[in-house]
Amino acid sequence: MATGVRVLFNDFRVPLRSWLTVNSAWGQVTGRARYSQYPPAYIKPVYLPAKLEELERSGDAKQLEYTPVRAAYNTHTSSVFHDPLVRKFTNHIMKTGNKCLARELVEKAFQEVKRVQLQKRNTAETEEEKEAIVCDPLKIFKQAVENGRPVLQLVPIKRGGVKYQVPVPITDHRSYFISMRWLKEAGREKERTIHFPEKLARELLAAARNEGRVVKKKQDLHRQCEANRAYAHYRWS
Amino acid sequence: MTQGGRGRISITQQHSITQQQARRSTPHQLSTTMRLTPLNLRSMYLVNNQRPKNGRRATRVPFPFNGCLPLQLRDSVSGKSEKLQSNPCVQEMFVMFSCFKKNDFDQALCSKEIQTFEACHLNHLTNEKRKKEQERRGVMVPGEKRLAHKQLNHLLGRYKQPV
Repeated sequence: MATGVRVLFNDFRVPLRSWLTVNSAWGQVTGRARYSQYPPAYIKPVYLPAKLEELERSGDAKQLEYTPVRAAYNTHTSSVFHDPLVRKFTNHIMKTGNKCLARELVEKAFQEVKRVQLQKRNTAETEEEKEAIVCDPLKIFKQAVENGRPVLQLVPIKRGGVKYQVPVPITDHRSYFISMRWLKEAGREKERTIHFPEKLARELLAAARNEGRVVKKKQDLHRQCEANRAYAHYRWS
Repeated sequence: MTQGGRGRISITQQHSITQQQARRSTPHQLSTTMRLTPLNLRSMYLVNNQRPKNGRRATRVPFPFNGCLPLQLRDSVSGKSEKLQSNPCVQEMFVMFSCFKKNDFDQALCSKEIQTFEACHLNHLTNEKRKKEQERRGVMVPGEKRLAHKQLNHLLGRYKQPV
């Protein structure tokens, strides 16, 4: 990275938050699962090499030496190319278990993103402009998901035969899920000549710049929440 | 013989009619004037030999108190009314909304308000989780104003009602 570029992304305004540092039970090794084929003593396998190193450094690895471990998913790999957010997104796109197709679509979308960005970079004149253009599709994808995350949600509560849309705080998991769902839906919209990967690539680039359908949907949701703020005061019993 | 509203005969009258009929025991007269609907002999009006005050037939036949359920308090409290779906962090939400309105829903300019709102929500979630765990284990903090139904049942279970 050149010294002149202080901020990683010049176009993107919402700061990036690491997917792995989200305060959730997903990162934890032990944890109580509601419905599981395994007894509660069985721990989740640690497949990320960084986490394994951390366990060994802190000494927790010794404690977990003789604990029974659950079977690992095929998709949880310690490969350099593995990303948990991309994995989640691929699973969401997948229909009727067709993981092959889902993965192909996501990879094609990323290729398209890279193509577009490379073209921009090659046509840019100054060195600074060239540095500013991000070509890593993974970074753009993460930024797009972050920019599309809503801050709160509307929950329908029925009282006296009327359904009120009450603004309510949202959990991290749900916000990520909603953002990814909106990206997928934006990729599935009309234009029959343009296929899903190309559309998705377009949407990812737009969302990373804080423009496009996904960000508009998020802002519309925020506007509606603000309009319905009166309902938030009630104590719904 | 006086008559009730709408040309109907009162219950006591009907009772006396049937008694008269029974005494006379003539089948022809019984079939024409006998009451077709059954009488509730435990009715308040029959027991106390009263008539309804408003002159109308009672919608529900009054009956003496029979006490189907035991006249005793239960040793447990139901948790149905406990789940008050209150909206947490309303104040932070409103502050955030005012910031949104000012900056035309630009999230980047309202990052502080959003952070405080999310922190409040996270705090609320952790508190709920802790309380639920305490309830499950039956741990009680002395001096707490409101106890959950599980904790109350634990206390009530110590001093049960005499059988």
